Amino acid sequence: MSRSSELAERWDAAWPAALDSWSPYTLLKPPIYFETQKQAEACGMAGQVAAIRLADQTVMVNLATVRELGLEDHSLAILAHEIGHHVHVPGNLADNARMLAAMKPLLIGLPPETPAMVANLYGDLHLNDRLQRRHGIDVASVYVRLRESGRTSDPTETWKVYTRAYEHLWRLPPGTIAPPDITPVVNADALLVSRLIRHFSVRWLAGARRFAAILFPYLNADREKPQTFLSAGLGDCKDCGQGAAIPDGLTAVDPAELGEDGEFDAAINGEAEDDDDQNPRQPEPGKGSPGSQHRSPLEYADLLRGMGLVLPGHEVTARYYRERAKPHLLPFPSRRQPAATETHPEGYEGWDAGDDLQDLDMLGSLMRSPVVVPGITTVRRVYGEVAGKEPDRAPVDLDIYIDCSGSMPDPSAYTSYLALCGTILVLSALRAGASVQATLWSGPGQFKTTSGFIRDENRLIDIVTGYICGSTAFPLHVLRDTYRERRASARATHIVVISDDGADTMLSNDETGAPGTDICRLAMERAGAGGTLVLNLFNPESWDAGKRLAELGFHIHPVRDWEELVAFAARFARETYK
Amino acid sequence: MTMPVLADLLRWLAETPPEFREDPPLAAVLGDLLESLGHPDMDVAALARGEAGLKPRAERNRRLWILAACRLLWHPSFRLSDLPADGLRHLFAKELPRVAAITAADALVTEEDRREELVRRTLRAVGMGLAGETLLESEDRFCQVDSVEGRLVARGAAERERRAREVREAMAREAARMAAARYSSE
Repeated sequence: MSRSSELAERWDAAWPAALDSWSPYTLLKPPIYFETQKQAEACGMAGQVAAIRLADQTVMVNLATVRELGLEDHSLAILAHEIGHHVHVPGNLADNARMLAAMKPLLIGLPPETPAMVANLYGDLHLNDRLQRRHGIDVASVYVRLRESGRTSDPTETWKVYTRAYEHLWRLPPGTIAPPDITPVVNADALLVSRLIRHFSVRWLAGARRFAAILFPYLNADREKPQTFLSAGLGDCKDCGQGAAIPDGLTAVDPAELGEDGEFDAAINGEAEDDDDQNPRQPEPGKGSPGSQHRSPLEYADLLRGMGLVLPGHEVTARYYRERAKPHLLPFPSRRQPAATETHPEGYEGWDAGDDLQDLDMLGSLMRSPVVVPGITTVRRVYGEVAGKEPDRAPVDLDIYIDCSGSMPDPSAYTSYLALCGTILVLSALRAGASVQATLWSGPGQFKTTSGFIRDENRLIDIVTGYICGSTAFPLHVLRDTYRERRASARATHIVVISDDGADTMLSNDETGAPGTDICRLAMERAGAGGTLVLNLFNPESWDAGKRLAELGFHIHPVRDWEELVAFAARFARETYK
Repeated sequence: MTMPVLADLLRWLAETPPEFREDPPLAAVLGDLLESLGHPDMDVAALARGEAGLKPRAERNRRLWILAACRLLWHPSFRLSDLPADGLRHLFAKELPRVAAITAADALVTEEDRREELVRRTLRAVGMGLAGETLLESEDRFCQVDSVEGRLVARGAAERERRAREVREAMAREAARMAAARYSSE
């Protein structure tokens, strides 16, 4: 990556003006230049003109391609365009993901890399129009040069619409940028694209679906042909998400992804024509409030894949539930201790050179000897504990059992409100300073447990959102072993079982023949902070085991949808605090 | 002529007295306005009446849009301006009924973009610009807030999507046919 070439220096000189074209306050590090295709290949940029990386806000320029295409004098237009990808469209990973999510449903049936390319085309149209029209930067001549270079001599249908749209936007004579054989249909669609770009130039995300809809037939017609846009080296956002951390907020569907209004959907379904002139569109209060709709875990995983973020499946699931749980964390219960202890200074002891520096008491050491000799004259304070006057509060630990038998929904495929509920409880407990034991269970011998109370969030969420899909048998042995020899002084624990009607196996016998009722009773006594059953039950009243489990002290909450989950959270907080 | 400032006009509209939204007699309001703007001879009754055949709800919506424009034109920025009669006639008789046909006047209360649309539509009709804005910027911004254009674009895109859906369905049928043919040949 040499930056010494004369061309690199010329392009570098154009960088401040390129930044300035967006705003005098735009700050980005200077671009990385590749002098040869071999150098560029290491970053997946062979044959490309330029590219961006959203992970570290980088602009990369392949000077070898720039020379091949004769674009040496177009530094300002190209650099300003790449900067635009960082500051306008897509601007960041999350908005890039939302754009892809908005387009994908309209591009079903096309090759998997299509949405990323369509998003790239859409972003380029917005950026180029703004640069050409508002900032007077001659982007059009870049396309003219590309045409002259011969790289676009066998254009795809998509390229025809795309380039003709520029001609409409900039009122250029037909054939300036676009190929000569533009049909009236292509021309009409290009005109529509140009109007769409202007209308959605600020709320660009809202126009993404419509753009994809217009391009679909052209992309479909181009299936057997390499896309001119990519073969001309213009796919500058192709892998822009690689190496980035997953941005927050992607589990929710942004209202802008849906076009912010029902206009498009109504028009697709032919409703708009019926009410024209007689029934003006009313504003829809409440519609589109952020986070009001969520993707399924599968859609979320698909979105991350589309962004080039390749993660193990279960990590994606855990992240999905963690993100959805965070806004709903509960004030987890704590218990009053008889009295807190207070620290009390009791004197000095020697401080050795290997001890923590923060423990060294310099004043004490100097009082002992004005000459400080580490390990000889140095001291540290010793503190004792005395009973305090103020009562202390200790958090209640959580012992959670998640049913993942065949009757339960797979949390990685469908939104499982039970897994979400478990995640909320675990994160709430950890936030309150409690420790958690999590056990994922299905049939006999099919279980996964932390084997003790821990505070490792990743491991706990892995278990809570996991899936085994076997038969149903509550792991009574785990419950039994947890509480059989529990010390009386151990911290109070709340037992939570997340299941469906398979929770009645809590009342079966364990592998030694001991009745589950006795095991549950003992556990509830020794846990000391009650128990809760969160159940996916459609008719809780007719569930026979419910009464017996309630007699043992368990609170039973049916949770089958979002409303019940929120209601449970409120009740749980209320009941454990009363 | 002093160019009005967009923020002032938007605030003026946002502070519209509730009486304007309670559908007061349009002819009276319009008559007062046009007289004070120096056009007492315009056919106020025809402008207030609008086109026949609209359903009551749509007709009320049209009146509310015109009333909102009247409120806007009462702004001091317009008092000393010599607003062209043709422009005003076009605004009340064509522009506003067109936008009223697709957007409820309630949106003028809830959406700032709609208020801006009314400001820009009105200024275009009377041939005025906004302070600190070039003609190009003004055109671009109008295009962004123009709900009529938005509706036309949405319709155009939706029509293409209907076409695309047919293609997708044909593709799915073809794939199913191929799969069935393969299955039966095996």
